[in-house]
Amino acid sequence: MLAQTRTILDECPAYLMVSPTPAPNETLVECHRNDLPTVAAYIVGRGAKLATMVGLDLTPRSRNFAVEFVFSLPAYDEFVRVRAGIPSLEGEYPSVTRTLPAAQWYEREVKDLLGITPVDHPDPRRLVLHERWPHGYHPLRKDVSPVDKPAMHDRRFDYFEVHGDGVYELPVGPIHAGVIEPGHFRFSNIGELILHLDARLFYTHRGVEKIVEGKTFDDALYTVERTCGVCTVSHAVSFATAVERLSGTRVPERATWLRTLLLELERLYNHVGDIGNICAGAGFHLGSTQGAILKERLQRLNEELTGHRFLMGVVGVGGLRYDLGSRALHAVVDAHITLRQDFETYLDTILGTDSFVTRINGPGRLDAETVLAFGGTGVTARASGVPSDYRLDHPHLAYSTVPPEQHVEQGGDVAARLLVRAREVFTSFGLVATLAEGLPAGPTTTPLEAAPAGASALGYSESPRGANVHWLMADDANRVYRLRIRSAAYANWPLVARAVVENVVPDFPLINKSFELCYACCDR
Amino acid sequence: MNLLDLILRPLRMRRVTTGYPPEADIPDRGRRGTPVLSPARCDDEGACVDVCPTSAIQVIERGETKRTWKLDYGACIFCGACIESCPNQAITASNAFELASPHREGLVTSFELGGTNNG
Repeated sequence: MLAQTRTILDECPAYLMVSPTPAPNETLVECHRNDLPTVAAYIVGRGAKLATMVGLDLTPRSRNFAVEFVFSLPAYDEFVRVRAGIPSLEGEYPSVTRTLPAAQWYEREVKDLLGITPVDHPDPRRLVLHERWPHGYHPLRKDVSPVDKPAMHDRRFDYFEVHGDGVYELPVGPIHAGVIEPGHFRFSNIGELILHLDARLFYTHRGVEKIVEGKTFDDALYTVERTCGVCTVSHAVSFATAVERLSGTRVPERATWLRTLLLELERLYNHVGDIGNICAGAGFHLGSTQGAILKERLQRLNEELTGHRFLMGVVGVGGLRYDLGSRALHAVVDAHITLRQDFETYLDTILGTDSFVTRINGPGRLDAETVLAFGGTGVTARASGVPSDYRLDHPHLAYSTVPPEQHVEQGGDVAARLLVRAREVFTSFGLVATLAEGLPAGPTTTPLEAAPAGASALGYSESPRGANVHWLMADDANRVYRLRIRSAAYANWPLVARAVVENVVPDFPLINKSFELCYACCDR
Repeated sequence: MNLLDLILRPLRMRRVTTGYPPEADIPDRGRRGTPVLSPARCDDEGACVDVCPTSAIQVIERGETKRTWKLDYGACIFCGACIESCPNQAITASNAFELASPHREGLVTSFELGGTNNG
């Protein structure tokens, strides 16, 4: 067992049984389901963070269901996975959400998709499957076919209600003006002041995790890569890494460096585009159009390098699907010199505009305590004074050789999230140049070893929005048995609802854009 | 940056949009372009059919000897797997991009194997 994990688990107040796991920095332990709240509270009390949670239907194999909480030990690059079996007939376990608020969505999701009930969950409403889906229909159970269409019911969703003199509700969405994804926002206000926001998402739930079950890893990658339009590299890398860790495949160094480079290119065009979108949220048109121009230039470079504006199709299982030419890479690095200067001028322009700076300072404030309690990740965490970056906490790919500088802001408001992104843009420009310069020669792909049946492993990468954590279990034919995609957006969405409280309604678009979370990534 | 400069900057900036139509700005998409078949090079072994993750490619028998190779751009995800799989380089990535059609059938392109393209 790993050093820090052993230190922690030795003093654990509950009985734990250690099981073997293929990945070197993971420890899988099993406990009784009634001990889950105690174990979760204990591990988090020792500095661990919830990385993901998975519900499992193991019935063909062992006539059991199971839930598994995955904890990250950021200071030690270790993961502790706590699993508890659930006898299929009972299908319940004591909820951990009251001691670990970050688990709130995961537990509701497992209830919807597998029918495993977290007893005494503070918010037992539906999450992923909207109320029209019939009771007792749990699509991730192995006996449910992915093509069956159950009859829908006409039911109302219970929104959280605020009562009192002068309180009114403002419904927004799920169809919005402009080209954005669907989500329904139910505000409870007094005057302009927001008292509570009930954000209802999962309108774009396509059942990605169900679709990939039974597929080969190569085929599943095509689907996983398309989970979201703007985090394609991160999802592809996370999934491929999970497969490689599961099967004990060592990816050639050149491929890991190029994957790192692609992740940084993805961060660049996202961060620059997101800064432009923050300007749009403040009604600052010069800032939003200039931001859009810079993003377009970056995406054209993506297309010239990989043939795809969103960098799809390069990452493969076992490495890369093809090598990137050094001439094309150097063209990108050369183009970045001008782009970097233009981005600097752009930042001077927007941060030199007093009306804009006044507008972004203050709204959407999140404190470190809230971020930690609800498991925020990426820019969201770093802008609220919480250092959190999987590139440093769990160095993957080439990040152990070329660690990025971590930019942390204390403000926790729109301005802080903009500044963290702006600084990271410069760091990413630097990383791309360093990676292209020191790129090792050699092959970019290697044949995959067989994945042990029933074994599971994590794959992760730091996307522009935070850690994308993929949890993967193989079946006995080297195919996907279960995949759980925990995107950064999924971890951060509950914090958006908290960030808008006590702000005014017109600041909601601005605050929402300062997080710029994907819906498709979250809904899957 | 002073206010006057801020106002003048957009005026000094050249137009950034390109002139499509008629001038299209087509970057080289490399392997990620639109797959097109050269029927003369096709060995009819079906490597592309087997490898296509969305079953967008089909070979349909028509009579004793005639066979039609069909690619449905409505199902194609432009992954390039067919291009990589072909031992004879019969499928190439083209820069075709105006693929929209008012009809669903308009997204299906077909080539007669051993004959000439009719689609």
